[in-house]
Amino acid sequence: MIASLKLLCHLVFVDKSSVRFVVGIVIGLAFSMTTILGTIGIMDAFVFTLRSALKDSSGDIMVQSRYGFFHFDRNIEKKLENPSITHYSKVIKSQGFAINEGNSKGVLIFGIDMKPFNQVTGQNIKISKDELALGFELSKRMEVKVGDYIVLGLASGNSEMKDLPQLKRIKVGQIVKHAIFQKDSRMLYIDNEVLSDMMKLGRGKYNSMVIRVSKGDASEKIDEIVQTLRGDLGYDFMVRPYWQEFGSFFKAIKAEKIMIGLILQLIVVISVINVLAFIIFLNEKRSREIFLFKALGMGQRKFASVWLCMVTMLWGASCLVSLGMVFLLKHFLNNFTYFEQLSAIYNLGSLSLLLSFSDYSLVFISALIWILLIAWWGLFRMKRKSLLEGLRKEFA
Amino acid sequence: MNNKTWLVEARNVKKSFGKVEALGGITLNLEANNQYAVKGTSGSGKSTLLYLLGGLDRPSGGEIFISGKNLSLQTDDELAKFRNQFVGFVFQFHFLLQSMTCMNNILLPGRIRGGSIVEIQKDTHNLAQILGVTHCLEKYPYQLSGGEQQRINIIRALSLRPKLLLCDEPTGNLDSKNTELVTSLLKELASDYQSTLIVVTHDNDVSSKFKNQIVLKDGKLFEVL
Repeated sequence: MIASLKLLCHLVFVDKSSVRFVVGIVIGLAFSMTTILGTIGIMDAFVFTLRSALKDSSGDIMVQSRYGFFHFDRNIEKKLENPSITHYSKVIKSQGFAINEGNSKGVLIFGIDMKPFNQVTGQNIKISKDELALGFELSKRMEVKVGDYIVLGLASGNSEMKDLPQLKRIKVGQIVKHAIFQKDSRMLYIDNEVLSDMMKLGRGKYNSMVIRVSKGDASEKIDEIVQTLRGDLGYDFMVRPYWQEFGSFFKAIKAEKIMIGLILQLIVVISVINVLAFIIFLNEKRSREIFLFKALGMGQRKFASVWLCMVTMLWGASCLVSLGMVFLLKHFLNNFTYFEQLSAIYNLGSLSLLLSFSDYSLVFISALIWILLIAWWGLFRMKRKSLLEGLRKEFA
Repeated sequence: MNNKTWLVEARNVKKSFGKVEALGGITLNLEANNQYAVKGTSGSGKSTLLYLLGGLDRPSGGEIFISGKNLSLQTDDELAKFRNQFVGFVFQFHFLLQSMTCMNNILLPGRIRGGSIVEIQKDTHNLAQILGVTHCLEKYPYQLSGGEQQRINIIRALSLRPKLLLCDEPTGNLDSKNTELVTSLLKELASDYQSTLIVVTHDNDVSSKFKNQIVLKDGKLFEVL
């Protein structure tokens, strides 16, 4: 088998034009596979990063009161006593304006209790009672840095002057990165007691909670707890897993990924047409050698296995080159600032590439199937001409 | 006659190419380790008969037995194995691959068979010495004369020590000096290798060198001398 394979390889690499043809095929096929892998990889990385970022900014589960503020009493506390819930944090969520020297921006204010909030989320917010933390993009927009002051405006609460907003000048204590553009440009954190006082809510009143279920991304577990809490807390609360904030977005990406994967198969087909051209080229240019091999005793089965083996080697080489190309693409995405700026169009901080074994398998195996189909066709085409006819024609 | 061991038994062998009948029912028996010349005019079916005996083609009718094995019942792969291990071919247009050295051309059947080629290389050097083409082994076929190419072709045909050595107009492209040389070498080597030699020729000078002559005419057995 190996000796026969060497003979067939001799046919392929016997002259420069054939070698160039083979190199072209390998690169073409590798490029096609890389295009698909790159597209899938970017989408997967996008989903993964978005999910991680959401989890890190909101915890595993978000609970929102439907009817405004509630007292966090023993009754609610008991409902959160679930062995799967490792941490929870009560939050006052409100909207307002951040104002700084003519710049103003609508913000989402989180009144938090730092320690449990940091335990629930992946964040590390460290601010004192007279400070606030704000998102990175928001700080850029407001042109503020740590130590600067901004004015926080709340829609209500100014009892002295009716219908005018409540204003408070607060020092910027920290700038936070969420890895989600949208959050970075809207989020503002402040101690919940300070916010409660500003809003004149009184102690022990909140309108949201964030919950940590377990380490890692145990989606099924989270879903299970969400269902339990929905039952326990009743209609007064909206209980949502962390990904629901971008739920429709994830669904769209999933559908898009399948569609793009299918459409990009066209690129593979185009490359496979190159393989077809090569098979026709071999059939025409090397038929003398092929007929002689057969005349000297290379059986159809042996020829077919050697032929398929050679085509598979071409595919294997393409896969290796493709892996190299994917590596380069990953490197470019991670190291070139152009791609970072590009990512601002999306919600993420930067573009990346995430490919699982199944992604590689899917792309490589689908390409192999195409190639083997073409190779079988090539074999069939060769078999049509009788040995004697071929010998006489080629050597006459 | 019944006590003889027939290597080749052809029974009413027919071959048609479309509506053209190349062989119209040939029956003959050929002895092992013997030497035969098949002669006839152009279009008499002698090459067709040779290709059928060598398993390069299948008859349209009748049966061919080689060493008692019916070739018609063999699969394509079995026929390929038969050609590789049982038959040596010497063609008029020597069929040497120009992209390989002569040594590699000679080793082709061995490489197709698989396994060690050390013995074949040793045999090749011996034969090349006998045939006076040692200096050609590392050259490419296009660097050799017609006579040298044909001698390389003969070495390749003998490389796996075949039981049946089939030659189709082996001297067709050679001058008279080389014709005589190649014919006598074929006879001598076939005898040494205990191969049954069948030479197809339209040259009476070549056929006259053989004790057994089969004459074909219009696809039929005309005479056995």
